[in-house]
Amino acid sequence: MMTRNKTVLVALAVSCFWAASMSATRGGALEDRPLRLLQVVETTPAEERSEDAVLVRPVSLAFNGHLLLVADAQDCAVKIFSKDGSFVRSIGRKGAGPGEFSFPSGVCWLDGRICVADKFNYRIQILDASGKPEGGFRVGFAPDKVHAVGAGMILVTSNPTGRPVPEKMLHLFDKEGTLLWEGLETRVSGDPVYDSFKNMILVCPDGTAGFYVIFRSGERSLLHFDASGELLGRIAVDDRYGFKTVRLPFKGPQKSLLGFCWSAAFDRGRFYLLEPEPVEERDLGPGRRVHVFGREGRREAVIDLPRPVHRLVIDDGRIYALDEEGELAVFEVVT
Amino acid sequence: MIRPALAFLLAAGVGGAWSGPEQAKPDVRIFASLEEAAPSRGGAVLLVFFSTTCVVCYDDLLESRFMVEKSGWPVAVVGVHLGPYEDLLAFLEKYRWDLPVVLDRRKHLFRKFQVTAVPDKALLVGEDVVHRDDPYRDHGQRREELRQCLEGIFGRGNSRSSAAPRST
Repeated sequence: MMTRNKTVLVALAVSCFWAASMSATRGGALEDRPLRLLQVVETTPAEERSEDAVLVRPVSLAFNGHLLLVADAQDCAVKIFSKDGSFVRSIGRKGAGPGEFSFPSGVCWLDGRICVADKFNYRIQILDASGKPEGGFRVGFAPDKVHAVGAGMILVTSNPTGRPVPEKMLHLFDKEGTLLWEGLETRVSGDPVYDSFKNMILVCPDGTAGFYVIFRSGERSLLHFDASGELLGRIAVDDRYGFKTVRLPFKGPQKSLLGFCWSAAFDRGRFYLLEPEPVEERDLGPGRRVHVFGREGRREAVIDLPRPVHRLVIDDGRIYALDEEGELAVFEVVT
Repeated sequence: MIRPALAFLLAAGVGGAWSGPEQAKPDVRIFASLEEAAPSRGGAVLLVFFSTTCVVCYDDLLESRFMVEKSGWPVAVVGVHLGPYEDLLAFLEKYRWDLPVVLDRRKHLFRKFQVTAVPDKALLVGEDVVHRDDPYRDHGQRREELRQCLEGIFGRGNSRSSAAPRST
């Protein structure tokens, strides 16, 4: 199976954004560290891939240092790739039985096993790396993303339902499905469409027992929680990284959205925030510029990817991303 | 709610194809390309991009078909779906959908028409794209705009006062 999906490593000098060249840093105190994007690891084009390896609607990524998981919501499957982008196998199919999914919207590694947010089955499923079901539990909401936190705990996110009351968006479970904590209430304005945008969040485990929450719009601080759900602090990112403002083109009173981050990752003490790109001045879409911040929120570097991406995970200088067409892309960043 | 219900009944074949409790399986037509699904070059084709996991898509697919068939416009309605095949087949059989559907696993049509979300529609006349859904309008508005476009091309059709179809 592994050899069916050949991978071509293309050494390619990609234009890089030398953030240090922005020498007009305020007060001279802030200076970005230059990063160079030297290689694009080109995965096999969709045309040449096997049927199982095609990514139809990939919505979530997780990497454990060896294998990359991609939740494909349309195919009701988790597709597994090697670290160079070669297809390994696909697990799951549409259904409601063990090992079957209905719109798998989130995936993570959990102590060597695969944990899936099985959205329309309202459950979390746990499988071994070969896809054999190993348990799971039902939840009282449509789970969106899953993250392994601390010792075997699972942080599950949910999207607002549109009800005009605050709802909790974070749910922490142990692996048996016991609810340990719920928190982070939605911000409610009375306009469910606007609220759905305002309450989009991204979660990045901090590598120990806690996690960071990043609002995709309207909030410049990254929230740091410990494994018990206690807010440890807020990290304000430095103001060289700005909002992208769009006026929402919906009926009713004009509303603006302060777009902040399209996707985010945390790796080895650094945040990687993907800047959204305006679409026709009335929307935001996937971007190609990744801003790198230290734990204190100071920007250290900017990376320009060769094409827009909408999801990414980072592992030791390697960026695994889903591009705007839903194809897997792997980039090497060299400092 | 009346129009979706009518559309559903029409699509389900209640108007003509109902054959009692033991219904025959519909003549499901799944194709690998648009050329196979709508081979008559130069005619009008309405592409409806949909997903079986999207409830709004059901309405859009059925309403679009209802609108075209009720008006008698010479437009081939073609669904476009990303798959998987088994999922699409089950959906088409369940809803007794006998219009052609392109299984676009490799996203040729999704890319060509830059479809990033479903449902979405594109009206082609020959090689020309004469109408696209505006994704920032609600689905009712989108269908109304499509109807106006079709009326502009083919006249009002059977459902209204009988303007003769214009030549394309």
